[in-house]
Amino acid sequence: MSPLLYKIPEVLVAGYQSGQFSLVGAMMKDVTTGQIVGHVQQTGVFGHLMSAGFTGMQNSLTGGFNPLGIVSVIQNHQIKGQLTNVQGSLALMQNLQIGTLAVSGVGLGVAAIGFAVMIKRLNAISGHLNTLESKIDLITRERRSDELRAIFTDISSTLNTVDTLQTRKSPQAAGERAQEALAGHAGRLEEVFKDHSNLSKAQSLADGDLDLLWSLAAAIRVCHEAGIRALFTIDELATAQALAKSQAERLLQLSQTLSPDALARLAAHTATDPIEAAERRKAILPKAQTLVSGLRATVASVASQSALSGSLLAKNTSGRAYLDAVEAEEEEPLLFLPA
Amino acid sequence: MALISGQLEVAFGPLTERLDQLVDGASLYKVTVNTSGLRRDAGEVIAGWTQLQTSIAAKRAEAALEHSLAALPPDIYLNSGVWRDVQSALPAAAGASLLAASFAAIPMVVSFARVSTGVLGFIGFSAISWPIFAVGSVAVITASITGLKVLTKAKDHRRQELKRRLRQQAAKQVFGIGLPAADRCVLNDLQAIVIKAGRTRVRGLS
Repeated sequence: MSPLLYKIPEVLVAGYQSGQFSLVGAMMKDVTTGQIVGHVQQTGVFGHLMSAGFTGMQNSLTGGFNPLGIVSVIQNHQIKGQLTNVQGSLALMQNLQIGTLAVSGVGLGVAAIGFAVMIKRLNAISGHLNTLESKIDLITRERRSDELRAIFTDISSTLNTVDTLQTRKSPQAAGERAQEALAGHAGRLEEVFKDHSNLSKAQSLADGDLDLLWSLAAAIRVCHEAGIRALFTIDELATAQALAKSQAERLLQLSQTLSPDALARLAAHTATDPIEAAERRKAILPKAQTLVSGLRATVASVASQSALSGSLLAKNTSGRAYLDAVEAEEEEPLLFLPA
Repeated sequence: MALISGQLEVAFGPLTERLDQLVDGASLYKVTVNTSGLRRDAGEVIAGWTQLQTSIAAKRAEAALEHSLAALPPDIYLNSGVWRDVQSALPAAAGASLLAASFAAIPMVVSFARVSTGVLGFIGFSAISWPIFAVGSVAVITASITGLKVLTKAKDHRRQELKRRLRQQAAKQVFGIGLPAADRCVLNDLQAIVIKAGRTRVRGLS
C-alpha cells in the first residue's frame, strides 16, 4: 500500500454514516468544525465495482456519458437500493445523486481514467449533440452546429496531446500549452452554455435545449478533468489549485441562473392548451432537476480538486507521485489522503 | 424547492377539478351574462387552496429544518463554516435571481409560525390580473332566441370554454405558465417565503 494514500479508515466510514462527517465533493469534512479531514480519491478499480453493483442499470453511468433523457428516468432511490448491498468504503456513495454520476462521472479526486476514455466520452457527447440538431432553434442551428463542431475537434486534438505527456522527454511545455488550450475550449463552451441558459430572455424551451445544456456541462467537465490532470502530470500543483478554484466559481455562476421550475415553466409555453401545458411542465421537471443538481454537484467536485492540490503542496508531494499512487492501486475502489 | 414544486404539482389536479365543478354548478346567468360572480368564486377557491398549500409547505420546511438543527452536536462552533451546511438544510436558493420579484414582495422578517397560520395577502394570487370572461356572452344570448337546442349547445360550449380559461388562469397563477421566467407566481412566492422564514429561524440561533 502506498504511504501517500490509504484505504479509507472504517472509523471514517462509520462517522460518515452516523453524520459526524460529510462528503462535499471529494472532501471529507467534520460536521462540527467544518474542517477538512482528508480527500477521497477514486481508483481504476472503482468503475468496475460500481458497474457490478448497479445490476440492470446503464454500465456507462459510472464512467461514460448518458443523455439527460436516460439519466432522468433512473430514480435516485434505485442507486441507494443497489448500494445497500455494497460493503466497505463504497458506503460513502450511499447519498450519491444520479446527476453527479452522469455529469462528472463521480469526480472523486483527480480523474483516474485514461485520456483514451476521456476521448471516448467526448465523442459520445459530440455524437449526441448531432442528434439534437433537429430539436434546436432553426435560426441558430447552423451557426451553433459549426461552432460546436469546431470546439469539439479542438478538444479532441488537445486530449490526444495530453495523452502523450507521460512519454515525452520534456512534458512541461507541452503540458502547459495543452492545459491552456483546454481552459480556452472550456471557456468557449461556457459561452455557448450561457447563451442557452439565459432564462430572462427565453420565450420558451424546446425538448433539445435541456439536453444541450446537459451535454455542454459534460463536455466542460471533460475539459476541466483533462486540464487538471495535465497539471498534475507536469507537477504544477499551485496552478491546479488556482485553476480548479476559478473553474468551480464559474460553474457556480452558470448554475445559479438556472431554476428547475423556471425551466419547466418555459417548456410549458409551447403547449396549445392548459391541460397540455400542465402535463408538459410535469414531464420536463425531473429532467430540469437532474440537470441543475448535476451542475451543483459538479461545482463541489471541482472545488475538491483545488483543496486536494493545496493539501499535496502542503505535504510537499508532487502531482506525478500522487497520480502514480492512484494508478498503482489494484484492490481498493476508493483511497484516502489525510489532510 | 423541489418538494414545494412537487407538492403543488400533486395538489393542482384537485384544484382544477374544483374549478370545473364550480363552472358545472354555476347558473346559466353566471355562465353567460354576468361572469363576475363566477370569477369571484373561482378567485376564492384559488385563494383558499393557496393558503392551504402555504401552510403545508411552511410546516414541512420548518420540521425539516428543526430536524437538521437537532442533529447538530451541542458544542457546535457557531461561526464555523458548518453554518453553510446548516443553511444547506434550507431550500437551496436554486436560481435565486429568478425569485427576486417574490423576495422583494415578501416582508423582510417572516416566521414559519406566521406563514403557517396567517393570511398572506402578498402571495402571488393577487399579483396577476384576471381576464374578462364576458367574451362570447352576446353570441349566447342571440342563440337563445333561435331555439332551446341551440341554446343548450351554446351553453355547454360556453361551460367548456370557461373551464378551459379557468384552468389556464390557475396554471398561470400557480406555476407562472405563460409568464416570463422571473415573474411572480404562487410557486415562486412560496419558495421565497420558506427561504426567508428559514433564514429568520437560523439567524435566531446565532
